[in-house]
Amino acid sequence: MAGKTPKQAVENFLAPIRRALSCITRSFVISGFDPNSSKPHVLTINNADAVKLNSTPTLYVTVQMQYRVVEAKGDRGPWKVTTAAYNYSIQDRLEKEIIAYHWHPTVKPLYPHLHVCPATGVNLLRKIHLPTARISIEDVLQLLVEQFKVKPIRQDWEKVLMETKGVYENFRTWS
Amino acid sequence: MKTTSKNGFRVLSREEGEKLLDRQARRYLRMSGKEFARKWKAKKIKNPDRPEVMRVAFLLPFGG
Repeated sequence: MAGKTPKQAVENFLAPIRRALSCITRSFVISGFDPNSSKPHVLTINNADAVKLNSTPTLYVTVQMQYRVVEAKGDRGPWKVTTAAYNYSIQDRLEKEIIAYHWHPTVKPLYPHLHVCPATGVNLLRKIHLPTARISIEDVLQLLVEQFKVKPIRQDWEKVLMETKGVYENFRTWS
Repeated sequence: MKTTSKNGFRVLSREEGEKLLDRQARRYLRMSGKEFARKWKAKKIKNPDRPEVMRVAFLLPFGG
């Protein structure tokens, strides 16, 4: 997301994510943005605890991202935010992970991947990293609502996710 | 300094970030945030891609 300052770029990055998450939770998005730090910044929700979802059976979700603020040219500048890593995981009622989408380019495996965790009952895949495309937070939220039957807390969730994912796709620099 | 935004997100201070990292490291890995950060930097965490490790490692910029 672009901004005239690093702070504005971060706000423009966080706002649509917060809006997308509002489809399933009222938890605040928290971040550790420090304009004087060159390290990646953290984005998470619910004080980094898993969020209990409105579902039967009970499910939890964890959302964590890292992002960087970089200089950019044209419509994408003068400052933009780029995602540096993500961890989206869905957990059962005991907060045991069912699946986790990971992308962490500084720790092997470097490609985006899916963990199918022992809570699924499929122990064979416990240590396997199943390659995936880059996954957006909207992809995960849609999965939760449509496949895991999580009840959204706003009626316009489909419109919201379509709009926020559109913002994300317009500004991403990968395809 | 803690900042609350009308857009529904908060920016944590360094102290708040360190506390959050410490709490999650103790919860998931039974070690302090500082100990985890030290072991992570020294590459002494076995199987670092484990979900319980990654969920703490993602918080390292808060205070690692």
